Amino acid sequence: MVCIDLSDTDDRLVEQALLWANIFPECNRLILFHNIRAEFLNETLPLSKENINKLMSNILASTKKRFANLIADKPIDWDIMVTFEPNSAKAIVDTSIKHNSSLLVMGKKRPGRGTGVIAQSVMALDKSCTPVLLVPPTKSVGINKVACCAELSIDEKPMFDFALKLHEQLDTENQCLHVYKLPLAYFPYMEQNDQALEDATQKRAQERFKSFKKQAKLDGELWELVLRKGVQIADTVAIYAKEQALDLVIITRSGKNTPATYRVGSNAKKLMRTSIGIPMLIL
Amino acid sequence: MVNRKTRLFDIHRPVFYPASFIVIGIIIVSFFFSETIVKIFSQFQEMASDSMGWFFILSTNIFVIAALFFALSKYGNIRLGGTNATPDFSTFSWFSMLFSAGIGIGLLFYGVAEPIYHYSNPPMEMTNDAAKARQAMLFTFLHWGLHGWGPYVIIGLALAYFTFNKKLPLTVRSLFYPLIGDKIYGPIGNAIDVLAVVATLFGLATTLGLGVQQVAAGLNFLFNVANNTTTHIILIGIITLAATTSVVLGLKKGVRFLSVLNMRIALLFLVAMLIIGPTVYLLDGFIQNLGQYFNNLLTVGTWAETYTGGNWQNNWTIFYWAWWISWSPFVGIFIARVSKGRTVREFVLGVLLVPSLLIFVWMSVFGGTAIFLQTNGITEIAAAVNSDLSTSLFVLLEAFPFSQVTSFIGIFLVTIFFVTSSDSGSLVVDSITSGGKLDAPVGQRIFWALLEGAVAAALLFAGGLKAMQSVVISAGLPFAVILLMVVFSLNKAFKKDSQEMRKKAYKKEQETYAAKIKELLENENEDENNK
Repeated sequence: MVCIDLSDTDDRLVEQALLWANIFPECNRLILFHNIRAEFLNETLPLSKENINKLMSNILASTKKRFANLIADKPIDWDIMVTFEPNSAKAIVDTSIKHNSSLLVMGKKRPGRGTGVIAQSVMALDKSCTPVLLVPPTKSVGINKVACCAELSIDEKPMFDFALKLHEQLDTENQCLHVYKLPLAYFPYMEQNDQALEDATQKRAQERFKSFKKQAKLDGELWELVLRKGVQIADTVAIYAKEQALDLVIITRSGKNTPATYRVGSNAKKLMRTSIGIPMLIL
Repeated sequence: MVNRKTRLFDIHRPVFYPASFIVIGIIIVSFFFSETIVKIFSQFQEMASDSMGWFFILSTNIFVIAALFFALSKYGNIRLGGTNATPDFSTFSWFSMLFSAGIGIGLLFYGVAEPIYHYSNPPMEMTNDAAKARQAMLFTFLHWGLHGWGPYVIIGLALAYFTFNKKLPLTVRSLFYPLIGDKIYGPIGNAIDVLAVVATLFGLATTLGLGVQQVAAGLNFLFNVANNTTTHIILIGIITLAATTSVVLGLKKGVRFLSVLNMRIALLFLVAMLIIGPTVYLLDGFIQNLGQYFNNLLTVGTWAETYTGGNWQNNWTIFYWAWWISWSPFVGIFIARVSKGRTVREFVLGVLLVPSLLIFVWMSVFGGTAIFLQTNGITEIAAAVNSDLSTSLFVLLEAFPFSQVTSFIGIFLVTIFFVTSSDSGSLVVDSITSGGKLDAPVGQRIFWALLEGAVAAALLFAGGLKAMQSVVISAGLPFAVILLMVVFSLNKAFKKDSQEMRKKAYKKEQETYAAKIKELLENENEDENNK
């Protein structure tokens, strides 16, 4: 299900959705969904009942016209749905659950600030935990280099399994990116460049990765562990993605320290809020 | 703000000179006219406690409610340092620093003394020992919990916000910018900063005075050194010299090293006491005390001794609120400096809850052990506490093996807390008296470190704990008024910022979307017209 917002970014979202549908043949239907954002119109363009109906049918027509050529030659069914609900996030979640959606594709278009409020609310509301693909406005070029952002907890095994599937289908180059912090600084004036502490922290991460691979039964040959030091995981990932020209970042919804009740972990939230310039898949 | 710079000093004259004059004046008067100064401060304390106790109670409640409001409202999303700011320290390090700001001499002094004192002198009439013990822990938690940290949250949050988001100097005057605008750079702003310096110095001096009393009690216990004013003043001299050495050595070799060392020893001390003490009783007690505290928070938080009369609350609750308030510029500046990049919600919940919880663990372990020993007739701690509060820790440790060693560790901890508090305090006073600078010359810090020691010595000489309590309450009262104004000032600034942020964030997206919808509607009309 692609959540369109009638902006130029919609082309990127549909392109990505088609790419993913191509990778996973079990995806056989594409839904383009839009909820009219009344909160944006109330002040400048209040809508009458009559206008709403006109608008809905016109959005349907213009969207169909806009994407017909792009989707026409693809072996996939597609529908357009337009609603007028007061809460866009809830409308998206309800439609996604109703149609048993296997992937939600949403825009990540605010430069420097990452995802908007709606995508964050969708993640928080969606009890079925549908995977979400956040797509930036930059043009997609395919998927060659993939990084899994991991805390090296066994709960993250599905993320590695998914990346493996991608590797099988597209022969992607997979990396396991682990961002670490130096532990124990009791005083604000403490310098953060203690080499011995850094070496010990890296060694411990390597050991954890080794035992994680064994526990998760991962093929050691396929996975390269990349260690990066950073206080803020989101900024570190953004820098790394740019530096290594990654095509996709994958992260799990909640890390090992997050109770299951909090559906979206702090690292995933921070990454959502940061503009990393490439698609990001939250499993 | 134009500063006077020399090799050893970089001072903002309208703040430095009046603050120095007031503090040195009080030191001189305390040494030469000790009876008069004690009388004046006692009268002021009596007036402040008797007539203004309700005001302290109301203020601390307002600080907690305001802090929670800032955290849980839409203002909670405001990031200190701007939207794209990132924290300088990881969450774990940040929590450790908040803990190090909260744990201090007071915890060592009152950790044993307070619960056992309330147990033997219950503030509300209780019929049996169990009820007395419960009440003792409840009041101890009240004095060291959310209400205490409320002033720190307010001033720390305001300082961080106005310094990092509004680029104002890191001094207390900046907090009034939304209320008085550029007048903060004039006499009103100077007066506010002078008051902040005086409150900080007296708050610190009280803590240092308590520390010295405890070290002296420990030395008396271990080596039979006379526990009198002369010993206290000699100890202040020695420890002030140690603090000055730490200042001269610089941050990395001096105070940072000592802080890390102290934190580790304090945590080890806590864990050791939990293990060698009645472990299950202490763990049970912690859970029960915590539940009891949250259950009775409103009742004891607003209890004003109205119908029972008496003077208990003036000596304890009111003193504590004044003490926390007078420490708030010092701890507030420290917390503000380490909290850049946090959201208001993270800041409030982190500063209000995490240190409170750790202090509750400390109080439950040390206070709980003392109550256990007392109620089971193992050691008579209550009598010792009633005669001299400062001996309580050592009387407790005597009941366990290797008491000589543990008492020595206790003395060492208090001494190091003294040194780090004095050093950090002079750093903060430095910052205020240099117009908000973070890198004032070392000579200036030595000056304030020596002055802190002198104030503590003067107050001890003049009248011991009573004199210190009087001075703290005298300094805390005007600063409570300032803090209340800060709440309104901060709310005003947040409101403005939040409205601007919302408008700015959505403006472009809203305009593009509305234009698109308008275009779609017009196309529809055109289509219909064509039909």
